[in-house]
Amino acid sequence: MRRTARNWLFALGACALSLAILPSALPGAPAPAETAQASGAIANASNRGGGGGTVLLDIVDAAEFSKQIERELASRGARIAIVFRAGRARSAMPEGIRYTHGAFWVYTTVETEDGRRVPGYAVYNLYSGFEDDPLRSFLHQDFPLDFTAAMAVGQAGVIVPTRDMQRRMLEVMNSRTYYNMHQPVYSLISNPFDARFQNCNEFMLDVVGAAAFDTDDRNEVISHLREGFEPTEIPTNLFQRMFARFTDSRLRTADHRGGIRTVTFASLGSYMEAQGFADNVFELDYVYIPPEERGEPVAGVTLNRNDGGADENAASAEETDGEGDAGTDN
Amino acid sequence: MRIAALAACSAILLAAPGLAQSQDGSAPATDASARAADALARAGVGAATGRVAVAPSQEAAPDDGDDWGPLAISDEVIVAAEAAPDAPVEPYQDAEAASEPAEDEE
Repeated sequence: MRRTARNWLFALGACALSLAILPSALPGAPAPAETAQASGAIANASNRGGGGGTVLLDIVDAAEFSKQIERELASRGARIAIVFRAGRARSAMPEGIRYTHGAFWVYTTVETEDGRRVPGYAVYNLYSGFEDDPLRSFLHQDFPLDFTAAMAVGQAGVIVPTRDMQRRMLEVMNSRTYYNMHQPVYSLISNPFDARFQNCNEFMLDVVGAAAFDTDDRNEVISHLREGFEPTEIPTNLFQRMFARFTDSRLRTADHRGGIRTVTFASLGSYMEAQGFADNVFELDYVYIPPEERGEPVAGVTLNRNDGGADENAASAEETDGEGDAGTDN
Repeated sequence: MRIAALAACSAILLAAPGLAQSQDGSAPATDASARAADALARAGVGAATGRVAVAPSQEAAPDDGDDWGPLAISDEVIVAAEAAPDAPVEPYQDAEAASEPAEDEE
């Protein structure tokens, strides 16, 4: 017995030593660089680095892809859509996760600095790191380029709500209810059935719930969600759950019992389709366009290029069938 | 026993960071927009600094009977005019220790 205790003490000591001497194993520390991927397309060579050694899309590719996503949404008449990105190489993500951030894309009028008004999408995010505190989140509006500039994979997950849901969601976003759905206490892996923590995907689920169930009470939303929402389970073992916070303070597990279950593109998309809240759930691949074919910079307004016949610049979209391809995504 | 313990420690150290890669929802750096605009300008990509002119509202979504056809989109890439938190943050309360344990979801 005493020997076992001594062995465990040794093990704990070894762990502490490992933490001290293996900084590369910790999040945020440089990891081996990985090549940016663009599924079904060619990613331009990129030297832009994200956190943890992640290689992001070249800024020009990011700009082009942001426009491809906007055109795809606009071609579907989407006033609001839910879009996901992979900010890490897929090989670095846990099993069952394909996207690392999601946000609302809302069709709007943008006023440029020189006073013009142009149509496009604005992006409404929940970000972690309010006032440099990684455990607090805040709501922030930015633009499609900000979204795609943090992409490590040239692919986006997209949910286009039904017209009725779009109206309801916009109504929520234009009211205090939007802020009522925000829980600033952040966890990377928050449990959607527990009100204590929240991440960006859970925030979006809660806004969808507020719109669907016509309530401004987050606890009531969570009660409704228990009836039909099935979170994605991330395979973990007991040790991983026990020591998660040692590796990243945002990995809170107090809201989980047993496995880690959280909101992902797949679970949100499947739920919205099953409940009749979404018209389309699909993944959109970046289509690389050589610079010489991109044409001159254009100022002003054009109708989206997807409208009307041949369009070699249009992004390709592959819709999923229910839980099909999206079934294991984040 | 010691080898097993070391193996377990290694597994923890190598696996848990993967869990931390499940999200990347941090705000862009405050100078990200300016840097993006510069880079796009150097590459000859049309970009404009802008801000949302109207709040998201019901006006943006027509009734079912109205036109839900394709929407117009500017070819310009919009970069944010400013980068700062733009929404009120609720009074911060770290509820981890204060609230009830999770009721298991399933």
